[in-house]
Amino acid sequence: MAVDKKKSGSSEEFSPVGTWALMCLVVTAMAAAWLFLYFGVFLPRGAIH
Amino acid sequence: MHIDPLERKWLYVASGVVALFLGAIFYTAFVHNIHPPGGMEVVDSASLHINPEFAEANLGVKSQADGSLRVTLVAARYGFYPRDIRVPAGTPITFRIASADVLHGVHVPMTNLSTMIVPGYISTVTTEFPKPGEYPMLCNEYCGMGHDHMWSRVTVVAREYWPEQQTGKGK
Amino acid sequence: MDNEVKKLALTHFWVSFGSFGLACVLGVYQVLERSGFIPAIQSPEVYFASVSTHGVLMAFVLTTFFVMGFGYVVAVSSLKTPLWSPKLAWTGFWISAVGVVLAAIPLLIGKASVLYTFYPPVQANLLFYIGAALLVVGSWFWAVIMIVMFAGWKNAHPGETVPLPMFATTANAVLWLWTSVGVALEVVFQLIPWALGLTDSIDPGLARTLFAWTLHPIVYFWLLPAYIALYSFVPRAAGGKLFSHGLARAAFVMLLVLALPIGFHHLYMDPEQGAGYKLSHAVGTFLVALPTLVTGFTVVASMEMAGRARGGAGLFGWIGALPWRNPVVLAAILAFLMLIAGGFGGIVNASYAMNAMVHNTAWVPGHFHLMFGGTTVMLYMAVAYHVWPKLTGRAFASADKPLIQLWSWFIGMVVLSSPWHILGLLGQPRRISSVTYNSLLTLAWDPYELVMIIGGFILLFSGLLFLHILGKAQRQGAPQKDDEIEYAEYRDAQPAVHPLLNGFAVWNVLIFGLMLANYGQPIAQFFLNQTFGSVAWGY
Repeated sequence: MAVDKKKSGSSEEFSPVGTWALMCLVVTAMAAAWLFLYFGVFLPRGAIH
Repeated sequence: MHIDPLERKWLYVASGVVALFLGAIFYTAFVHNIHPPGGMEVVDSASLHINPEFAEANLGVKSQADGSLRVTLVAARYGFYPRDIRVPAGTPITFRIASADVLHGVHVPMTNLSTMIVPGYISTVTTEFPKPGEYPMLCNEYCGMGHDHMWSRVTVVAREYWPEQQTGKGK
Repeated sequence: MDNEVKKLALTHFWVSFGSFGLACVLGVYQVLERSGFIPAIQSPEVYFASVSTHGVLMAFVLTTFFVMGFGYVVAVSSLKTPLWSPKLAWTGFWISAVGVVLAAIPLLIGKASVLYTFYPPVQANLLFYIGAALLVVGSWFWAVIMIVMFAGWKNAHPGETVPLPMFATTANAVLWLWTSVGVALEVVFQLIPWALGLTDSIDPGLARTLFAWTLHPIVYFWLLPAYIALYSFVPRAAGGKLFSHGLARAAFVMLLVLALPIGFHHLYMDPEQGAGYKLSHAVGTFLVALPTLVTGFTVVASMEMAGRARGGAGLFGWIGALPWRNPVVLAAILAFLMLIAGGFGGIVNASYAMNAMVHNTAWVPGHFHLMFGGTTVMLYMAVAYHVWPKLTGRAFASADKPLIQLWSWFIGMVVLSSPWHILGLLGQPRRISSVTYNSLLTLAWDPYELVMIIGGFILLFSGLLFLHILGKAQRQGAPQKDDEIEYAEYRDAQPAVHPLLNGFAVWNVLIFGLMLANYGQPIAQFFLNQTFGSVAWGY
């Protein structure tokens, strides 16, 4: 993780670790829910083409 | 352009998730043939009654030579005709549906039988019903004041109780 | 800001928010009628007239007038130049307003119950189509004014970077011109000649394809002002700065380019288009999620900066340290929560064949009420709270009422839309006025309908409170002088941006290519093949 790196060109030292953690949580939950719907609900309801 | 290292990482994560979704869609599409219905095939909706495929006598459930089933339906205010069909569970069934009037949509809840029915075009969709039972085949596209009442019945029978397939009954 | 612009903006906002209030009332009637719990009000005639009016007011009137009014405010306040041709701006306003009145007459008397996507071959009264066309034509005046002011500022400031809010507003004007072409072609060349009796029949396949051209990017036309509020108002309101300016501009460009060639995700279940084009539009639909994911990161990081500066510690301590009592910050937080859920629903809709599971089910209104009614309208409210004192010269009397209003809007929307998603997975169709299927499956739907009624009433309360707050401030608020609209500063001192992120010429060429690739053959096929039109039907 690049938590401690200093940002070139930035006036203040700030790394958005909280945002990074939060967004990763959100997107992981989304991916899990999507995979569940696709493979656990949609496909078992019958192949379609 | 200066991008914060964590935000750059986030770009990779976000792209990765999108790639995961698209990967699953492409994999099931090209390996397992999972696609939405479609493909432009025209029909004159004003003359369905004399169309060889959609004339009344030719509607209903038919066995095909390869053992699959074909169901030919006309969607019209306010029902899918014939209004009562029986089909086997766990068997690929190809539905061919044309509208005699306005836009309709067909959906059998808890299954993936779904397609729009647009006047002037034939809707073709192949799917299978996983579970036996009695289902409403309902119209899910606004088609007029009677839209709420537009539904027909689909009885899905277990495969072992499917004697009809030889005789072509069930229309 | 001169008084002319203030008056112009306030007039637009009142048409916008007034329509919104009326549409909220209709919404409550609809959840009540649809539940079937009160037999006395059952009526498909009234229900479908109401749904059509609710959709048109919310999606076309609330949005278009808000976007125009906000655009004028952003242009003059961010560029610090006078409005180019107020006369043209008023002309556009009146053309759009006359269009709304013309469309409203047949809608309200049940002569245009074709829902807001028109539904040929069901035919509405001619006035409805003409009114809808005029609403769009009026908005083109706005788009041209935005582009002229953008170009004028760039000419007067060679080598300088156009301020982000105006860059984004101009992106939206360009987007809207591209977007509205599809529906304009349908209305002018198909619907109006057909309603006049000049043509006997209409091709619903072509009409649906042209409408799909408009139907996706139009939601970004509504959404972009909300994103402008997120990037330009929220960081400052939270007490921080915009975390990354370059990526913000890149996000707006991606939204502009990628929102356009992807409309077929509305046609996944349609017979008149083939799987190949549906798949290519599906890829584009997934790609357009990226700028939203970038927006989420940049704006949340801006808030994290602010929260840490306010003393928030630890991984998530900055969240509690944010000024939750600032309406702009509160609206942003609540909007993000709804965006996560609504965005997920949208990704499910977009997932090609999986669309069969949810197409035209109650899932879909659940999704777009979260995305539009939730995220977008919540941020329109934030903009209103931010600019109202500056436009009216009067302050809000109560600091609590806007917070109660925003919280109740959020709670109401969650209560309304959660059952909708479940009903959708259970297969309930979205556009029915009653449940008549003689089936055991549908008995499970009743409890959800009850919850939706509660959500509807909470939203009505919140919507009317919103109008009350704005009206009361304008009439009785304490006078205040400050009319400077201030935008978030960038974390880094104004950085130079690549010319590609400071103009639209190259992007227009790219859009043209993408539109040709994704819509050329799908539209041409209707003229190259023999097709059968449909005669007009009543409803």
